[in-house]
This record gives sequence, structure tokens and C-alpha cells, in this order.
Amino acid sequence: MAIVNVEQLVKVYEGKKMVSVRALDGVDLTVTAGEFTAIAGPSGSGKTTLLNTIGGIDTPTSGFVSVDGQNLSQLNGNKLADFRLHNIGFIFQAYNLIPVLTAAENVEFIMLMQGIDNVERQRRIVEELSDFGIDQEMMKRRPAELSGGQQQRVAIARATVARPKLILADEPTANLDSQTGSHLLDKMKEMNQKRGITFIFSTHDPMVMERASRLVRLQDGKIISDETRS
Amino acid sequence: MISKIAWRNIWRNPLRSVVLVTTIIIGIVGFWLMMAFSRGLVDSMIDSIINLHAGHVQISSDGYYQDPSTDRYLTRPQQEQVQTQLSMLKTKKGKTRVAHSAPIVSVQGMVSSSETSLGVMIHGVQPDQERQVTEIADRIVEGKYLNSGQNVVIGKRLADQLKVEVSDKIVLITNSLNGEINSGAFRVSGIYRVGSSDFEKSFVYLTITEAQQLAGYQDQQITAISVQLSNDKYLTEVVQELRKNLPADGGYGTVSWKDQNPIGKTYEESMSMSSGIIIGITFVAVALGLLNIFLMVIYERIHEFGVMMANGIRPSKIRQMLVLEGLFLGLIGTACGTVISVAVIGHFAYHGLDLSAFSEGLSTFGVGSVIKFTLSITDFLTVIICVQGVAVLSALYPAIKASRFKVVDAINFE
Repeated sequence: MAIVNVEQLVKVYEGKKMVSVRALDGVDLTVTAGEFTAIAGPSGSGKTTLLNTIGGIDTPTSGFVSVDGQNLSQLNGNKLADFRLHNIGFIFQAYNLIPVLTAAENVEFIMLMQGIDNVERQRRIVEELSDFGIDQEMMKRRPAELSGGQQQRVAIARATVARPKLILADEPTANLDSQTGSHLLDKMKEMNQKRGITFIFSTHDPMVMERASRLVRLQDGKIISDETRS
Repeated sequence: MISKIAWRNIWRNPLRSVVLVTTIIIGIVGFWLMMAFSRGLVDSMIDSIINLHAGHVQISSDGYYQDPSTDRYLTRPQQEQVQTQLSMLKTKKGKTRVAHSAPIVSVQGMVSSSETSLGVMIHGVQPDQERQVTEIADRIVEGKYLNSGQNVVIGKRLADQLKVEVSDKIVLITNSLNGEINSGAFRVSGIYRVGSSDFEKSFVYLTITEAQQLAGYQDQQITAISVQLSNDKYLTEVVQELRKNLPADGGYGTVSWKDQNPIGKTYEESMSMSSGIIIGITFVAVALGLLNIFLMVIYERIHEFGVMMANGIRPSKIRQMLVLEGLFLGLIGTACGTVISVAVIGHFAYHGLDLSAFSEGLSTFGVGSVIKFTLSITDFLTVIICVQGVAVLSALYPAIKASRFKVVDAINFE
């Protein structure tokens, strides 16, 4: 069953002095639920734009995007936010945790917005963060008191704890050392296999590409190869 | 959680928050101090009008206050009618609205000593009743108040001008009812001080019997009945009722202290207008400070808002968070400002602010040299509500702006 369906997606950025950039140029892509997909390509090839458009945080110039059967262009601001809250998780290269909340609170925040009750929230916080190697003491720390690797663990836990169907990860290992990056990729692969969460990465990282069940290569806003691995 | 984030956000940059809160505190304390001082000043003036001389209301013969001549007086039956009406002035719960009343005979005349002669108001009172209506008896600084016989009480300034002291003799001269010039010699039994040089120079007090003799009143006529109300708030309705029940065509004239002292009335009325202007200026300044800082806050956190919205946080929650930050800052500023203001205003309300250096100028307006600060509950609540309103409104525009960012633009903002 397709969780992401992209048809003839075009994204044109109107720059200054009437110079326009065609970031995506007629992309067709279907991602089946449970895939662990990497989108690779050189800088400026449109990887992040494609991820942002699938995630509903950027709007296409033309074309069609649906996630879990929902046409994203039919959703307005609040409905789109609610759709993301319940269906899509984001992992960023720069972690992007809320600086004034502790690790545990960062993870709890999304669940609170989802309306999950306190008992369930507390159970999931401990379960998820422990699973990513964040102990009780670290859970009480704010992002500035955690290392980059620890922050990215919390950021991944924040994405997975909300039980989304789809996680979009934009260069999640780019700021991490190879050992931490490898460990976190293994954990994400585990989540993919255990919970059936679909992951789509944009990446340059060979470690991500090695683990991907599907590797899509983009160049100049077009898919130039689409390879499924066993 | 949104309120927790909002609360913690205001401490992300403590120095900036302290500056912001200080702006609010200065606004609040400045406004309250100014209001408390101004109110103290006006209250002092109004108190001196009501408590030293006029009472709240005076009922006289029709036309007396336009032309205070001796032939405008209240007869004995008229006085009884006035007392009957006063006894009927009750609240809905049956409490009396009149605290005290006292008859007066007030005529224009001259006072002479061996040194000089001056124009004065000769004010005949019943000492026992007058004590309950005005404060002259409490303001005696030399000698003693009136008892009986041919004694007078005069102001300190008048005593200085006449060059007389307690026990010295003076002569009072006035036009009597039958058109003759009447005069009498009186001994100064006491000298009063009230702070107002004009008042001290103008009013000579003697017993009502002596004043009636001077005025040529032979049948217990008086010029007015002075009334002290149990509460200032009854003034308008009492005056209206008395004017209705003691009409001008029945020979009565009812005036309030405001009618007799238009300057005092103007000061009182201008208080509400000036407080509105002051509060407006103060809070526009505070609002601009807050707005400036909030716009800086938004600019610094655009990326963070983008990440929150990407994670499914509704734009309305971003707005709510920023408005709460404004509200929290307003509450902190108000709490600190209130503590400081209560301490400072409390001190000056109890001890008063000594303005002896300006006593000459102040006395012209009937104001004493020590101003006791007064703050009404309306001033107090208005400021608290306004500060919260200003804080929230200052945060609202940046909050709306922040919630309207395109998510992807906000995330990519550096």
C-alpha cells in the first residue's frame, strides 16, 4: 500500500531579479508503507525540497502529493498542522529541539499536543528515550546540556514517540560522528522493522544509502535512478 | 505545556526580560505616584473647602449666594422646614445621609484693630454644632475656640495683618438688616491656622448670637444651614432632593461645595481627564518598548517556530505562547510595581510629603504644605488591567506575525 504518492511534482523558486530556480522538475514517486528509502543526490538536486513538499511544510508549484491517501493540497493551515502532528515525524540535521524544555519534555510536547493522557505519555517517554540510550538523568537536561549525538537521539525519539506512519529525515547523520550515526541508523532501521514506520531520508551519507531498502537518486530536480534492494 | 514554554522563554534572555519588566515597573510606579500625589493635592483642597468652611451643602435663602446681603435670611419656620427635610434624607437601608448640620450667620463686614481695618466675612456659628461640621475648632494654634460672650476666633494671617494677639480687642463692623451700620468690640479668644492664607485672612468666627445682633436679626434669623454628609457620594442626590423639596419659589437656595467653589470642582473633574491623559502617555511608551522587544524576540526565534509548526504545532499555539509571554511579563512587572508603589505611596499616605518650601504657593489654593498621597481603587485597578492589556496587545502583533510565517521559510531562516 502506497503511503506517499507524488505525481508530476514541480517546485519553482522565484529568486531575486526575476531569476527562477526549478528545484523539482516533474518528479513521480510512490513510496510503499514500511519502506526505508534514501533520496540521494548532490547539493541543490532537490532532495530537501522533495522531503519538505511530502511533509506538507512547502507547497508545490504544480503536481500532486498525497500521504496515506490524503491529498495535502486539500488541507489548510490548521488541518495540515494536525495531519502532520498525527501522521508525519521530522528529523532535522540540526536536531532542532526546543531549547527551554528538557529532553523528556521535548518528547512529551508532541504527545501532549496529540492529546495523549499523562500516564501513557510518561510510559512512552521512559520507553522511547531509554531505547535510544538516554538515561533518567539525561532526560532532565535541556538540549544545551546534551552532546550533539544525545540531542539527535532525543530528536529521533520525539519523532517516533508520536507513532507517525511516516518519518522524514533530512540529513540526520550529517552532524554526527560515524559511530553515533551508524548506531542511530540501526535504531531507526529497528523502528522501521518493528513498528512498520516508513522512513524517507535525504542524504549524502553512504551509511544511510547502505541501509536503505530503496535508493532514489535525484539530479537537477529529476529522478535519475530508483533502485530497490533486498 | 505551552504556558511552561512561555514562562521559560521569558528567562532565556534574563537581561532583556529584566529591562522589559523594569520598563513596566517604571510605568506603573510613575503613574501611581503621580496619581496619588495629584489626588492627595486635590483631596487636600476639597477637604479644606468642605471641612473648614462650607460643609458639603448649604441651604440658604434664595439668591443669597449671588448676593450675600443681610436681607436674605432664613426665617424660623423655614429653618424648621429645612431640618424636617434633612431628617428625611435616608438611604434605601434607612441610614441617615446627613452626618451633622449647623446654622450660620454669614455677613460681609470690616474688622479694625488699632493698626488697620480690613474687609472680612463675619461668620456666626453655634460652637457646639459647628465643631461637628467644620474643623476650625481643631485648627486653633493659639488661645481657645469660641464659647460664649463677645469673643472671636481669627486666622493667623489676619492676626498678623491686624497686629493683634490672643486677648487683644478688635472691632467688627457690618451693615445691619435695617440699613444701619452696626459695630461691636470683641476679644480675640483664639487664632487658627489652616494653611490657606486667603482663608486665614478672610474669615472671622464669633457666636451666632453675637452675629445675629450685628446683622440686626431679631427673630433668630440665620443666613444658612451648613450640612455635613455621612458620605461624599451622596452629594449629587442630596442636592437634587433638597432642591426639589425646598424649591427656590419657596424662598430656598441649596448649593453644594462645588457650586460655591468652582475652582475646586474644576480640579476634581480635571483629575479624571488628566489621569486618562497620563495613563495614555505612560502606556503608549510602555507598549512601544514591549513591542520593540517582542519583535526582536520573534526575529530571533523564527527558526524555532518553523520547527514547532513542522512538528504539527498549530499556528494558534504559537500565538498563544507569545501572548502568554507578554502576559507573564506584564504580571511580573505589575507585581513588582505594586510592591514598590504600595511601599512608597503607603509611606507618603501615612507621613505625607512635606512641601514646606512651596507652602506659600500651595496655600493660595487652600492646600496645606504636607500632601498625603491618596490612590483610589479605580486608579489601582485601571493600571493593573491596562498593563496586562498593553502587555498582551504588544505581544499580539508579533505573535500574529510569527504564526503567519511559511513553515519552510521559518525553518530555513538564519
